[in-house]
Amino acid sequence: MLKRLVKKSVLTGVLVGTLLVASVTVWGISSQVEGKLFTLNPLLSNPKGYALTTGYKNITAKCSASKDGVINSQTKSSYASTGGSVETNYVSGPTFASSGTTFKSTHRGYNSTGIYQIKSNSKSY
Amino acid sequence: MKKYKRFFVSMFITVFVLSGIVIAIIVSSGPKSTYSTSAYVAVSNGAGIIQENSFDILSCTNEEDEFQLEIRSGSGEERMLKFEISFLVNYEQTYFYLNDSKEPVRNYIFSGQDEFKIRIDKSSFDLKNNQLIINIRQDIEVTSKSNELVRDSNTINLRYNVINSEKTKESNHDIYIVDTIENYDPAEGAGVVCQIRCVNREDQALIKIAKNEDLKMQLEVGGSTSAGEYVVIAYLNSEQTEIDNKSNLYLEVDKNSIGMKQVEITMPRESGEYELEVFVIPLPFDYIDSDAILQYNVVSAQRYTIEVE
Repeated sequence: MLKRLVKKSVLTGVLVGTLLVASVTVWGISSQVEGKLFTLNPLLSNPKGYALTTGYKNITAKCSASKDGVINSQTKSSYASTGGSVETNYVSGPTFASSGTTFKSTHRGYNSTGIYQIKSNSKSY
Repeated sequence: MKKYKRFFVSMFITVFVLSGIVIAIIVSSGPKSTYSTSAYVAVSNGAGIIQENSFDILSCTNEEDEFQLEIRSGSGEERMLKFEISFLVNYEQTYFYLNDSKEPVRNYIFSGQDEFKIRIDKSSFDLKNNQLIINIRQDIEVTSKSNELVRDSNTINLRYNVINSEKTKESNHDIYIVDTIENYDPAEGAGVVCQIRCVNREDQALIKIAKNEDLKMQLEVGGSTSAGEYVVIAYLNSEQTEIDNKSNLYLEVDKNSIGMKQVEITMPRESGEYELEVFVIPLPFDYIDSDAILQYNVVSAQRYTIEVE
């Protein structure tokens, strides 16, 4: 009987501990505004990319693709008033050839102490 | 076993050569250059950080009856970045006083991380609903000429409604009609469009102009599914310059359209190098709806480095 009780409390302790670590990690990740620009250069289509932002409040992610001398640049933005993460749809470079294509992402939002943070990343092929 | 020797040798050579080719393709198809910035701004009225886009002027009034903000800003990057800050009230660049100084300034350069107080004469806020823009240029030593990746501007523009209940005046400005209109079918989340390009010279990052020459450019503005009115402002470094001999240009564009207009941007009369930025602000005198903030964000066109000979 005692053995069973000990087993049960150990299991509960492990479960609660896991949940605590997970929630602190999630809070830690989203308490500051972070952002990443993901780009791909597939062999069989135009180069493409998207932006991902994590943060605490009023977060936006913006991604644009442009190429020198080509007018058709694309921009996409996403917004979330609550924290967590937000990502844009894929934007594609204007031509099949990636050379000269530039991707730019902008990540904005408030951190958990109310400070406005802005990050931007650019990549050029 | 001996009879398979040639087979294995040729197979290994083929695998080695092909792997080399595949690795070369993967490496050469990756990005050739990257650039990033990160910064933070905390705008406070003394009682706490302002997080709303709309606030009453009385909440930012000091004992001398001046508009006062406390600003903490800096870079999140390990490398040392230089910033330059300036302020626009109702889309006109305004003088401000830094900390306890009695000398008015138009802009202030700081590097790394800094904390300072700014004061603006309350008479600048002469409307009931005033528009305040805090403009912070990042990494000011890197120009479009030296790095193409900064042409997509990193300038921070924080936009606020400053309500002055003592005033009843609404904005009264001339609205200009664009030269031509093109239909525009915005993709979801495409946002407001702002582009400029040269009309009488090659469109490149570095523009050389003669002394006393102004710059003719084609301006393209619009793209919103709801907004009709936009205001356009131009900056050379952190100094507002005139467009078509006006400090700002109000344009009316139908929804789901791009309006095009040829404009003349006033250039400095002193020789030197300047960074040109053109900003478009949609719904210029609306009350900002925080839940639809993408509609109200200040949008920048591509930057240029201007060399005045």
